[in-house]
Amino acid sequence: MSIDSKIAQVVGVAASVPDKQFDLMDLDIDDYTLKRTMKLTGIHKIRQAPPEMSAADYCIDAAKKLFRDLSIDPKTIDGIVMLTPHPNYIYPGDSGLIQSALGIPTKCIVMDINHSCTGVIYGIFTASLLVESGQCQNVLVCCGDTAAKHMNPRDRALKMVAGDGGSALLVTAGGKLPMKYSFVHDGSGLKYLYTPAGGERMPIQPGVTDIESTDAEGNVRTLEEEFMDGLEVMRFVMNEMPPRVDEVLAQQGWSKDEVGAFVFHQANEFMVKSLVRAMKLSKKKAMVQVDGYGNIGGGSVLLAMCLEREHRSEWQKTVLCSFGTGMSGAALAADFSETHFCEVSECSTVQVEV
Amino acid sequence: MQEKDFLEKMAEIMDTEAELSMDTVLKDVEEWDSLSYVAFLAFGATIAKEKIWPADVKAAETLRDLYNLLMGDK
Repeated sequence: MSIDSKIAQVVGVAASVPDKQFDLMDLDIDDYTLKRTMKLTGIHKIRQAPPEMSAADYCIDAAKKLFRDLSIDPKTIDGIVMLTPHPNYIYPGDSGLIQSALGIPTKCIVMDINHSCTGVIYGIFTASLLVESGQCQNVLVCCGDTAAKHMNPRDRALKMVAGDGGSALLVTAGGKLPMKYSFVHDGSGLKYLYTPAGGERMPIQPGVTDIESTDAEGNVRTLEEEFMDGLEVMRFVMNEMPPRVDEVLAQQGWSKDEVGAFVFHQANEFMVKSLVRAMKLSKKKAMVQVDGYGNIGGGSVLLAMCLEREHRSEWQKTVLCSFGTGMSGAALAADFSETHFCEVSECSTVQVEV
Repeated sequence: MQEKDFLEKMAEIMDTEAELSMDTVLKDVEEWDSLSYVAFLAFGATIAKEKIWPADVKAAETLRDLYNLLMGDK
């Protein structure tokens, strides 16, 4: 790779998840519904964070693994971008906690972006801007979530797909091929995937926001827990994501057949397969890595890549495609052939100290 | 899409063994639930002429209503 190049590249990727699996058959949901849902989602077991663990813990664990594998001195990191909807504190964000936990110097740009499932592409994009502007040399992107903790155990729409975990990647200059992006966002769709109470708009109020109610489909939740309208999410994804993928392919001048790997946000097996069908893609090129983990949010595409590291060699023309709360979506076409994919690590201890 | 092919596809989408005809009332099919709504919408996105809206899926009463949604004839 050329050291003169200012083109941003992803040099390494890592993911970390809770060490214990949770069997969805243990949920307080009838067997018929459990089995019917699992057949569609492909998810039988998930990783769920214990109450004391945060997304930042898993991201830090992933970053440590990445630094070890690539022999990177944390003192060379001069930018951190953290993306999570569930930080350790209401303010400030997690990026500073990640900085101190990893021994990254104080002369550093740190920022937090409140994106969830689409986070990883926003993270790579922001890090690339920092590198290509000349402001930073080595930017650590962390993306994770502990959403599964914020869901009602009797809300099968969410509880049967969501898992927890984090990811980390490093963006530097020296790339060969400029990365190409396509974004879409519909803020009017916020109400289809969000947590109503707990922010400034609807403060937590005991006896009001913590009262369970049951919807028409039999899902139970309070206003303090996550809500999803699965039908609206599916509509957004099926309408908006195929054109995003087409756009990044056109920007790179790649045909669908030339692409070696399509990495969709691992929402569930059915959603990935529906996109593959709608776009007439090769099933072999589109990875599905959901069982045993669940949808871990923004880090899911990186987790899938790390899990497939030994089974795939075609990373030169890779398309990432993420979507989720917002409603938000993004696609990225880039060369990942020189990228190091770490073995997935498991984490059971708190990584941040205040 | 022919009606026969549509009925076969709907049995697959709903994962049901119930006897289906164009006049089958959806609420009589046990498997016509939120999972089937999503599966139908995803299928519709790949073949329908017009965009299918969630409210239209929920409002459908018979299989013929769903067929009309796919064929762009509400």
